[in-house]
Amino acid sequence: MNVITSRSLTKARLLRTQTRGYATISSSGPSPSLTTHTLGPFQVFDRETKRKQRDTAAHKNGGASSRTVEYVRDEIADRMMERLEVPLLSPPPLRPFQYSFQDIKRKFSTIVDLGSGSGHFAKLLDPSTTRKCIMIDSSHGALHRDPDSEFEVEVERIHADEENLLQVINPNTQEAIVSCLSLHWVNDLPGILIQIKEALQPDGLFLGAMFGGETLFELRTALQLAEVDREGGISPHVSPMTDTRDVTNLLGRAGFTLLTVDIDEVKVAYPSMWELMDDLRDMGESNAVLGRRHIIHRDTLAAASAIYKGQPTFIPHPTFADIAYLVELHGNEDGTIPATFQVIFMIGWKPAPTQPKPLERGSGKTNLKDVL
Amino acid sequence: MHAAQEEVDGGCAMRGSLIMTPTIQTTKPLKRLAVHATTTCAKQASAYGKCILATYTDVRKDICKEEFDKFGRCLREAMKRKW
Repeated sequence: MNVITSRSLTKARLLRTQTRGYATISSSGPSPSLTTHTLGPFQVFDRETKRKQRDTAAHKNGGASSRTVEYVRDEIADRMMERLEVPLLSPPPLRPFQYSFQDIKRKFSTIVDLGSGSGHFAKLLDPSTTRKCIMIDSSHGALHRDPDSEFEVEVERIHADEENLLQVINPNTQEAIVSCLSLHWVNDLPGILIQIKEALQPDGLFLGAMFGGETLFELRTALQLAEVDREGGISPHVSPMTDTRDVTNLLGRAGFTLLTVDIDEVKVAYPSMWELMDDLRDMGESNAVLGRRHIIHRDTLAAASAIYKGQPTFIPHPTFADIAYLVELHGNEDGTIPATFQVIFMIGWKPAPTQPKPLERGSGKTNLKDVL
Repeated sequence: MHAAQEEVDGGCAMRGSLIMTPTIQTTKPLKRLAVHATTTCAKQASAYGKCILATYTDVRKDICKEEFDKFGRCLREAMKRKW
């Protein structure tokens, strides 16, 4: 009896590990933070595939292909730069803290760019405010695509997995860490934010931008509708996105203070869905969701392209639902199709004793009644 | 929080017109499928797209089968292949 029980238990355990394996093991080798017997934090993305996709994209046509499709990254890097300048140069109402007049001339000796790609952000850095930029990226191809001569500041390249920042950067060492459009492929977002906070010196700055919210919703819905009609089911083709509302909570939970989070949207017009998909591939942003299907049937693709382009039909007496779908409908009037990229910008500071804190509850001396 | 909307020209319009040229028609099958789905069979594609959009909120398998069959037939003829 005893023997049977233990044997069946072993069998059950074996079965369980096998089925778990289906759920978590990546198609092209297990993800580094995951072994057979431990379950890491929730795994969504196949990091190894993502690295390969980005390497391939960076090498294609000697880098020419990925240079043509840099428009979104360059635009966002530019908008991020504006945000880097604001906290340092802003007048007291915007950053009223310990930075007084002399800090306007504050100069970073190093800035870490986490998930730098080929250095879209680093290229915008000015030697008058920054001495050196450390670029960290898991794709060797993207990291070394552009020569040092294209950067105005000194650059150091570290080829390492963005998910394990603390393996290459010591805690409490960095003045500023930035991340431009890389965090949307990180599995453990709360974890990486905590690592960033640890790597920063007290009062260090974190400035990030990531795709989130409704990024590529047109492509997502077109593919879903096409799959339902043609095949009768759906599978993931566009990554799950971080909700903009969650980012503030995540930053707070990671221990950052003085948070600023905002969203910005870039809409790009393409001739059709096919050019959009080509460009996404050349950006190294192809699908890398774990458990994805590796092919899309050509009928489904053609159907999705037709649906994506679909022009809004005229409805004589639109109901609320009609309006909702007209607004959501894709396809511009000139025959092109739009693709939405929604970017979440985040600014957080590592706490320091010198930073201002809210006063104790009940310590107020002025009665609001007298003021109002 | 503010969400600014801005149109950025990705330089894609130019590449779109490149695709119409016959030189690319001889390249990969997927490229050829793209050309036929957007130009040769544009009429059938549009009819299919309209059908899906008319039933947008209640889509089931084969809900626009008739329209897609026309679109698919056109694609197969244009590609000179069966699948």
